[in-house]
Amino acid sequence: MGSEELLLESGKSSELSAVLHTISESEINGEPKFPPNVCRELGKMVVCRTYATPIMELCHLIVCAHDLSPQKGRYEFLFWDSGAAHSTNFRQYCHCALQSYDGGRLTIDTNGLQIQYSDGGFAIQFSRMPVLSAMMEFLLTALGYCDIDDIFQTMLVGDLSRKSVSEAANALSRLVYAYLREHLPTAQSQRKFRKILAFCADDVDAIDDPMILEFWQEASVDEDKGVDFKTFDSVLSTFIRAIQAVESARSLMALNYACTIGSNREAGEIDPDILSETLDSVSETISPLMQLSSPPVDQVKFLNKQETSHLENLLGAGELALRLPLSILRANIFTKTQARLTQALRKQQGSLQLKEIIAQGPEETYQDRQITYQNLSHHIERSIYASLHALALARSHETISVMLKLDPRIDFSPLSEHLGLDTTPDQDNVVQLHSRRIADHFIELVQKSENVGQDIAQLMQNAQKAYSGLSRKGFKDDVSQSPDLVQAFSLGAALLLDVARDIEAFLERLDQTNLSEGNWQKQFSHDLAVFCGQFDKIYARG
Amino acid sequence: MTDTIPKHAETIFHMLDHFDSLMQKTDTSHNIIGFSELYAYATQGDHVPTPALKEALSSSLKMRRDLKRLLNKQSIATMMRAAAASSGQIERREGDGFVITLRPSQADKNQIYLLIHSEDRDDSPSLLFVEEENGPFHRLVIEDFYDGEAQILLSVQDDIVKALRKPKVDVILR
Amino acid sequence: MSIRIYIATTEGPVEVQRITREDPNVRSVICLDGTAKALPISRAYDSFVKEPTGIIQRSYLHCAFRMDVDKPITDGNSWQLGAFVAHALFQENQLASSEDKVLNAIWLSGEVDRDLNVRPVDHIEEKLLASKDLFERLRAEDVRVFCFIPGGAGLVPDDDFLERMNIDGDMLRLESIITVKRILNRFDLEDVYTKLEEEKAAAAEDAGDDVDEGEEIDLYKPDLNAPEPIKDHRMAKIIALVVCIIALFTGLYLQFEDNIIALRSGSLKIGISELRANDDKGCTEPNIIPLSRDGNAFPASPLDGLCALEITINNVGAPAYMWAYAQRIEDGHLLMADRESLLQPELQKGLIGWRLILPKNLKRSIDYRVVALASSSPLGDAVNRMIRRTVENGKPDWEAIKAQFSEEKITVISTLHSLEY
Repeated sequence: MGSEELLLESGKSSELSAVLHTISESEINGEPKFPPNVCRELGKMVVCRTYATPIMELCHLIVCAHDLSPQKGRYEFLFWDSGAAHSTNFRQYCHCALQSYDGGRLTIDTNGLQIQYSDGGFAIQFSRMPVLSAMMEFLLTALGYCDIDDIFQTMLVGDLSRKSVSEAANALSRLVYAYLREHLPTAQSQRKFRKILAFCADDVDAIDDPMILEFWQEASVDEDKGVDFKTFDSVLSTFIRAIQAVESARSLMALNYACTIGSNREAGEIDPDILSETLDSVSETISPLMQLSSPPVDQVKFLNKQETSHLENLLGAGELALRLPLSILRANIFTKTQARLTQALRKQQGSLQLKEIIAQGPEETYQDRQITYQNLSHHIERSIYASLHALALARSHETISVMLKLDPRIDFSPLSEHLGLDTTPDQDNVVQLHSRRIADHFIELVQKSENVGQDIAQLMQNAQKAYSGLSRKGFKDDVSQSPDLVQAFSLGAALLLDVARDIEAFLERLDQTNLSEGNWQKQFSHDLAVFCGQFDKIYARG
Repeated sequence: MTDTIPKHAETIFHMLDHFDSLMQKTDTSHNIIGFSELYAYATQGDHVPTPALKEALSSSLKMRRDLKRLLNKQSIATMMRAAAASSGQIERREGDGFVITLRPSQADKNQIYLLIHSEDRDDSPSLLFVEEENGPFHRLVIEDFYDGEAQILLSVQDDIVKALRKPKVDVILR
Repeated sequence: MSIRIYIATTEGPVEVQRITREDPNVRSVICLDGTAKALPISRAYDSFVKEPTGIIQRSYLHCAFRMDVDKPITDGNSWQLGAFVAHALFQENQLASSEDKVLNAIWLSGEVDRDLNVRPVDHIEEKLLASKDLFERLRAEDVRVFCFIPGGAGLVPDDDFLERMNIDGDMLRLESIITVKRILNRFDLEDVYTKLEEEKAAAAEDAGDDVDEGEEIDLYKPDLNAPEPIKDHRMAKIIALVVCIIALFTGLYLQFEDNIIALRSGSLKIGISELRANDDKGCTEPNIIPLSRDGNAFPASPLDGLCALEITINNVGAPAYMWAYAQRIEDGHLLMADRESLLQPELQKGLIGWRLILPKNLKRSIDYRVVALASSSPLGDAVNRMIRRTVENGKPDWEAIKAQFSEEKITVISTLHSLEY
């Protein structure tokens, strides 16, 4: 494929990116309509082509929306007059709408809606509705309202049955398939992958920090218009994806997925669900960040925008951060300068201004960034302790679970004695604490060593101190009055523990890194010269 | 591809690479109009359309078709185009229980009052759309529909006034 | 010469640029700066204009207007007084447009009810402060500014504030009013009260109202049903704050007609408050509206809805024997003269007061003088001499009375006030 065709292809895929970007930026009543984890899920369905099942669910949801709408047939109300796409909003909308529903097809329970057709039933959970709503937005934005509405109208005016809904879903899936065939081209991505493989001589295990730097130094000044390797972070991310792809393929082979991998194995096809699982697997470390900024956890501001951004590169690399520590730091430190240069070029600034930006250099050194990670680690630890206090204030049984996570060796026997726990910890150190039995004075009790022993008392005192020191959203609300907040603290604490472990592991790895220049200061000076020289070659010459 | 690289690695790489590019937040080369925005434009008086939406509605037939479909579903009243025999300027329209009148201002001849009056309807429209024949949509926010009527002062040069005076336009109250 | 109108807002003064008659089939509208942008208060303006709720149509016989202003007016009703006076000027072709050169400007804030009473509004000080630049600019341009605000407790800013605002009573004046009549009279505008009275008479006739023409106010022979005169500090405590504010206010920038000793020493002040019928409880629990002094007199009090007057003396100096009386100008008839307090004199300081209950259906205007006396000796003899002289001579010779008190080392201040039919 020639460069021009690659550019054309790139335009098509960027249109799809723009659609997803528009959806993630959609707002309703001043807040994002779709939370980050929902947008990520939608992206996953698109790239793994696992949209068939959600489209089927969506068609059934359209039937529900049609039946429930205050003005007959306006299925749009469920999606665009129910507020942000949160399961709680959909639950509320459905409960309200059902009060004036006089049909016999729908029933509701605590988890979702059930539809009864003449040829069988179908259930849709409220927790699925945000993603289905995002899929709906995607269909209408990418394919157009009229075309999609035609299919829905055909479905709705006829005799509704599981079969007719399936037919509508298949018609929609065919439209999506055709759209994605055009908008998810592979040639450019193939070229990137093969270039990386060629550079490492098909040995991804040999990829290390020096190799990535060397590749960038070569590829960033390459005139190949089809593939952009100008920025160091895009190079690093492509290397990481190449290693992950090869390692995932090896794992699939090893797990004997080979025989079920796809109908056309020779052509490299993989079952969409396996692809989806693979994506989940390589996203394991970054996903806590998504969840922290999505409902229900986002009711508490555990991490702000800057803190999240500091963690994105590190957690996005997953385990490879430990294999490529210097590359992670290089991307963290020099990406900003490169972004400023790209911005200056867009504004058509002259080489003098570009040279000025290069001379200014990055805002922080490698040591600064390590301190940033240490501070983040401390902040996260404090937030976990503060969450523990919040859960104790709410007399939630999750308190014990967070205590265990913070200190698995803790002796719970004094606590069980005073609180009437159902059991003492079993061999797995699992303690059952029923909320109805948690004493009113729980919080006072657990802070006194004479009641619960030195370990727990100390832990809870630290927790209270951490809680009083935090004033971010959620930390000053009355947690005892909000079950949603209790859930946010409980889930948030678990997610933060995962993040904290990854940061600690990375900092430890940095301590053990053998640097070609001897120490971090010299390494930074060396890299600064390398990067400035390379920036000069890419941007400021001619 | 050599034996050291499993067959499916490239497929997985495509997926991961596409996923990254879809999740990137920097692409602004395409002015994509989300359906949420079109829906808000069609149904909410307080929605302020972006320049991109205005541009799309004036240049994209598909977008106008989508809007028309949405408005037909959501309208309170529709006043279809006046009879083909009408050739002069239209100052009064009625239909679906509403009357729309244009009255020149005595204070300023360059301004005109648009009066919307409900004859026998309880609905309170918050938006007025005018669709020109093969042309763009015009949208007017009805801020103060109260007690069965609204009065909006407009410039005679306003596109929506010019459009309302044309016989071959459809008027939709939402 | 035309006059410019400024409507006071907390965001700054809003100039009325133009009023135009509109097609009667459209609603009245307030527009911004000649553009087609109708302000959100337009609907309220329409109600203010159009009958049956509106008073502009009743006064000026047209039901739809367009008013252009140079800045937005967001909410509230305090624009009504400015809008009314703008219409009054427009009716006489005296409303200045943006381009007109003017010698006079009127700055107003107040709500106007159907009887053309000016009702209290909030944030007077903020509005004055927000107009400081305008006042200075107009002073530099030699334009005289008349500020009108509603009368009422706590509405008139204190002396320090007025001094800071450079309200000098000459190029920049401030008056509190309780009806728009004062403005109409002052600027010689059409008396729309005739229409109001006609409407009221028609309404009264419809209601079979019985009018007693001959009754006359005379509190020298007190009404047996009238409340006790206030001679202690019970009432004083309630109204002390309000009266003090008024007293300070008047002392600073408005000159008393006579200030023989008291004003120099600043120790003796007169206050007049209206007791107006309460919307719900009529005259049994009237609203107390202290009046602010304007030049030589307090603003006239319309008789309509007026139940009584309260006259107070505030002695902020050393304890003294104090007394006050009210005397009709035309014939010296004593409207208020509390003999009992003269017979049992005592040294007092602070606030003392008397209440004048007005007869129902009083059908004539009365101009009278309130005189306050203070002395280190009991006042009975001096007052008796004054009363004898008045009775003998008919129409009182105020200069002579004043001279007599002065000779007898009595501190005396007086003020004029009218009850307006």
